[in-house]
Amino acid sequence: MFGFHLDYFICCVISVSGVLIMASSYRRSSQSFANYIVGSGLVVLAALLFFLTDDRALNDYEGGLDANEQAVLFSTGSLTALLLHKGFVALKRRLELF
Amino acid sequence: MGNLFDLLIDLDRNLFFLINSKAGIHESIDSLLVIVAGDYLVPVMLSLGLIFLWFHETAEYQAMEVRKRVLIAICSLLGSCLLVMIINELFFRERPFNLPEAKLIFYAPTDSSFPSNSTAAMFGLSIPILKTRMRVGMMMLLASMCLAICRVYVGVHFPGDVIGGVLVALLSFCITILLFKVIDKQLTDALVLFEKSKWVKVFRL
Repeated sequence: MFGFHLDYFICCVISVSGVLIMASSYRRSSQSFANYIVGSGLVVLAALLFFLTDDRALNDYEGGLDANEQAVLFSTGSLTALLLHKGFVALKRRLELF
Repeated sequence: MGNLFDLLIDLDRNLFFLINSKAGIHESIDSLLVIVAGDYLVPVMLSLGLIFLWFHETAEYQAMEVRKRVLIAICSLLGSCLLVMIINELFFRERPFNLPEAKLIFYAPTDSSFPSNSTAAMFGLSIPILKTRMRVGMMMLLASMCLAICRVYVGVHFPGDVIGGVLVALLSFCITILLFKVIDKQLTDALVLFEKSKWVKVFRL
């Protein structure tokens, strides 16, 4: 899609967002089923996006990611997803007020 | 003693060929198993499992217990990687794809084959979860086993490397548990502080 590093980062953000939606739906069980479907759908979508758009079986010196890069990109992706989730929830609450 | 070692090496090779001989027959199965054996699918799925465990618990005392386990899992993973790095400095084993009859359907790593780094890391991440969340832990362990078998199938590890990786993960887990027992009170206090602090509100759902 956009280069290995950015692809990995984007897919991490999408999949972590899915997991956060599932985790928060568990906490507020009233609307859990739909949230579970959306959350797991996002995780599957991220995996499909990542693996179907390019060849990912690459060594780190041939364009793949080494363990350190993976750790950094996954953590920043998770943090981004968390901030997006918080922002989205805050926006939703604000809209419900009006 | 030397005979026993030779016998084990022979057994390891035979087992490798038994699994690796199935590679290259069905293209679709190969491409699926290459993805499972890769550096991305299983590690990311297990990390997502940890994120889910960290955020999903509602009861405070259970959340504390689960979060401690998540921290133990992360430290156990780091410990496994460190132990593998130390063993690699002391010992080098050729990759199985260098054998004439072996099939390689993955990229060719250049580091030591023994112990399997990815297996050690993934088992290091999965084993600590078994105690507090048996079902999730079993799923994570199953995913790690799939990764381990696929690494042999694609031709980058001997079965012995994978078993070595599991043993390294167990050792790392034991060391981590011992360390966490020493700092248990401080860790509990830190987690309580984390839960109550307004500054880290962003890290809670």
